[in-house]
Amino acid sequence: MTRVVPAEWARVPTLTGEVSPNDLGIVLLSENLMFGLPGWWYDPEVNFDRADAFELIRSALLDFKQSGGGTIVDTSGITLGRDLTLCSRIAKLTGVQVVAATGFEDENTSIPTHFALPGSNYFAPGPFDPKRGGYANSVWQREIPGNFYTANGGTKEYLMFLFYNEMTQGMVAPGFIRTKFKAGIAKTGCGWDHVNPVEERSIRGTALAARKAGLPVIITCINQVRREFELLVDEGLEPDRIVIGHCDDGRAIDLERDKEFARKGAFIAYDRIGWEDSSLSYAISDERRAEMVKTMVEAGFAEQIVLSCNAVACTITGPKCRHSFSHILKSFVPRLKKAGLKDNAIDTMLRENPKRILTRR
Amino acid sequence: MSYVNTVLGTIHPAEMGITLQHEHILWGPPGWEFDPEWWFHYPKLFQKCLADMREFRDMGGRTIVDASGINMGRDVELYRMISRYSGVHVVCSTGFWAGAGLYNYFRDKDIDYLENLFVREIKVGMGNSGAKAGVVKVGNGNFGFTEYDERIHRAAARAAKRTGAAIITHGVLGIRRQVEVFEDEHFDLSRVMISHCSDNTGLDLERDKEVARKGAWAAYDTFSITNNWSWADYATYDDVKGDLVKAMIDAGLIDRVLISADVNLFSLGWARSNPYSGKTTVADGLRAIIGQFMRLGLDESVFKKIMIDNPREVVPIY
Repeated sequence: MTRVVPAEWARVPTLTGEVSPNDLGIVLLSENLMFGLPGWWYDPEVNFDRADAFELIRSALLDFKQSGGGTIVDTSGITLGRDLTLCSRIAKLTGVQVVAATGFEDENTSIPTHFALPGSNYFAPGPFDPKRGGYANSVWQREIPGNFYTANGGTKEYLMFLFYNEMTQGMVAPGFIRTKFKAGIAKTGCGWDHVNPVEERSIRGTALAARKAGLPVIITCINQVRREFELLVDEGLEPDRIVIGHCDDGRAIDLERDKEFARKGAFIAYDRIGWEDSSLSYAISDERRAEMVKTMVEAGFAEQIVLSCNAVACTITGPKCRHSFSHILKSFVPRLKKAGLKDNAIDTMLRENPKRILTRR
Repeated sequence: MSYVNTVLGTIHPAEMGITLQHEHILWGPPGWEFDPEWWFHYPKLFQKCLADMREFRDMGGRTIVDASGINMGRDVELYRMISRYSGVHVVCSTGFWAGAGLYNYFRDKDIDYLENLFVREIKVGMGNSGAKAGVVKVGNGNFGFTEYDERIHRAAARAAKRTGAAIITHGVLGIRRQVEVFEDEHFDLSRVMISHCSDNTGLDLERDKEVARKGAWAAYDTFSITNNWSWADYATYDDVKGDLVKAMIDAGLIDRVLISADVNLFSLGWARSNPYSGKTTVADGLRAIIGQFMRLGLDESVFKKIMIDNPREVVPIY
């Protein structure tokens, strides 16, 4: 079921202004301009130089532009190194359209304590629910010993407003600034082994906000994809608004699973292309990725696949990234062509599918 | 020679005067800066905190120990301004409030890393501010003694041993476990301030006596956080806390008792005007403490012993 919206509303918000979906060009759907676990700024040993960061990101984006790219989706989300005042300047300089994301990933890496502690809801009671005997979350949360920290962080509705405001008013930047740049996609995720209650709230909140704003959601934990998908759909998000990220994570490769979700209408993202460093558990060879993509395309799923390389232009913390955004166009696309994929299939994966995903509806 | 690291530089312990050894100028779990619901006007915050501190100074207070620790609201630049314009010595803490309060970046760090971080903050300075931390804050949340909690306790013990700084704890429900870990690290318990012994969720006089006899300091540090206005479950009437202090004195443990108020002059990301926190100030704390001393008929020498001499013995770096 597709909602019909005015053409104006369907425009994609980028860091250089809103653009028509037709002008996106080649899109990489899951990249990081900058990456750092929140809190790194409290570590005096972390050597962060803003001018260096600027130069690193600028050269990576220029490289991407020169190799034929058009748009990069930065899926850092709220806490993992999104610096809009920096990146919007670079986007303007290089001419690459950057779409930024709202949302969190798993609790351990990206949901800070403020959003994770259960809320007391003394001033913001949950919805009135006679089945629970009054305002949901208002009484029983008080009974948890020591639970007196946050006033209202502990509900999915609270997180929904946080994300929805980032999608419609503008995203938050360091320095108590709400910028004019709106989020064009939401990401969400959970821990590798299970979805904990904090992550469940975050996933549900993301689904509510994305549905309300008409935007897509990208899932970042492949191991719990069934549960995440279930939660998103449970909150009313349509399957064709869901992108399943990291399907080429070396720890959890399963083409049957990919086909199953593609049949449901979700998009399958092979978005770790270029991560071949065998010391990392999630890395596999690009050769194997090309085979997987080929198998999926031959099985008729070209319209449900997106490609991306999850490169990090400026790494503050975490494993160093040896490839850049242009890796796909310079190295992976030739590989796909060599493997016998037709140009129009590649075009579908790099242009048409992301365009369908990013178009608001 | 012992000395005290304040945000404006070192002072001699004799300069400390009346000291509240467990306070927070700012306190709030990390992450609120991403949540526009909780943003505020910084000059107003400065004005509020400065006024509170000046009132404390006017009442005779001379020093507070800010027990916020890393990433829990500790804002060294602000603290320096407040200290400079109120005349109150502010001792900052390194370390973490509790395992549950670690910013995501610190969650996968090992004990060695944390130890070195704490030592650096005491010896070199906190962040790039140049101001050095004076004590190590560490604690456990109310959700049991987790692996994170154990890690920061061990790191704190090792860092404190290396630098000669004292430790302030948090978390009344984990006191026995904290003491176990410190003993396991062969840390001198006379350098540990066991906080929140007056937390209503875990009042236990026998435990306090036991801890004090082992050499640690029992801190009754929630004066002025009372049920009269607070809904927090750690709040209880000041009379209860006063009686506990009296009982400790009667048991001959006056050398191991500390008193403070654990107020947040401003709560970040959680309280605004709600009854869980932030309504009392350091001056209210001092008023409540004096009131209890008067009620219990304790004379001035006892007040001086507990409010001046005891902190002077434990807070400095040796």
